[in-house]
Amino acid sequence: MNPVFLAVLSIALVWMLLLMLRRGSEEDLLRDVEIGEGSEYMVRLPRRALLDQCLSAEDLDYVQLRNSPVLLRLFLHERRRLAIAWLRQTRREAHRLFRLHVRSVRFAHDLRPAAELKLLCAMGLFALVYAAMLAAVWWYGPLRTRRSLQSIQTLAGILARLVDRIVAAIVPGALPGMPAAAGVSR
Amino acid sequence: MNSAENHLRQDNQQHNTDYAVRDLQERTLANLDGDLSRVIYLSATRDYNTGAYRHEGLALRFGEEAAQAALAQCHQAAFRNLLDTGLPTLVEQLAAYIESTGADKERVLQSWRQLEAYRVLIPGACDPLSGDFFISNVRIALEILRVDSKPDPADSPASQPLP
Repeated sequence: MNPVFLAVLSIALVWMLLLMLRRGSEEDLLRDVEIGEGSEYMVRLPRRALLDQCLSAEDLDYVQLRNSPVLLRLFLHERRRLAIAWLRQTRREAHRLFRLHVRSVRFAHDLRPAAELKLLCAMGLFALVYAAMLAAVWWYGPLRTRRSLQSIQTLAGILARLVDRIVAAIVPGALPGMPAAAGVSR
Repeated sequence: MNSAENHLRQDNQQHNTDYAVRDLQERTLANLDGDLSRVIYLSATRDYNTGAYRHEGLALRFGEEAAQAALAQCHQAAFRNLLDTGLPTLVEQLAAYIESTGADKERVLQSWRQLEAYRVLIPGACDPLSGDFFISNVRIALEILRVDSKPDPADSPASQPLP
């Protein structure tokens, strides 16, 4: 692969990661106030089906059939905006759960270092996949091929598995019967 | 009231709601074509000031509480189906709905675009991202119908600036 392309991609990923970390701390402060209203352990992840719809190749084909640049611009802008919103909401929730976990294990007597290390690795991987996905979604528009959509879907699958692992480690037993508000939990 | 009585009351309420949901689905919603029409019908039974659903027939048969719960449940289910629907189906349902109103298509399209009345179709228990997704989808569907009925001069490749 072209080394210049690799360098640009790496810089973009690092920049996205920094941006994400900086934004995260600001948004999380605001989020905490809202979450206090319900149970802290309620998992509020956006539905995966929404992201799949945002990146639907069938919808893209359907819009492209019209040969209307105005319509195509509107479609790509909206779908990219929503996919980014989905990603940010997922990250916010993962960070919230992680902070909740850190708070609760701070004084725990039965701390298991191996499990904590695993969780930390999952969080690190999550941050990397998130940054890669954000960069890929950012480019959805100029690069709107079926192949690029497939790559984003693959990343979304990896991200979903990581989130499931994080949720299972922090809120045991939450995945089978997560408390769900309509359209909220996955 | 002791806990056993309370439990029994809750069970009865749940049964009532289930019957009300079935009744609503079989008698009314089954006659409506597509989830968009169902969502429009169900959101119209809601008081926009209080957010409470009202349906006299259902309330008479199953009680006010069960009727409200049934309407809310059906609204959420139909809305969820609509969210999971692809753009082609949404456009099809929107076109069919506009056709069913009997009003001038252009006028309805313009009014939906300007007034954005479709925002009231979102159930109260819906999360902001799903609501946003729905609004965005309807906006795109309206634009598709507009392009299909009357292509904008700005859309023609000749009017695009040269690269």
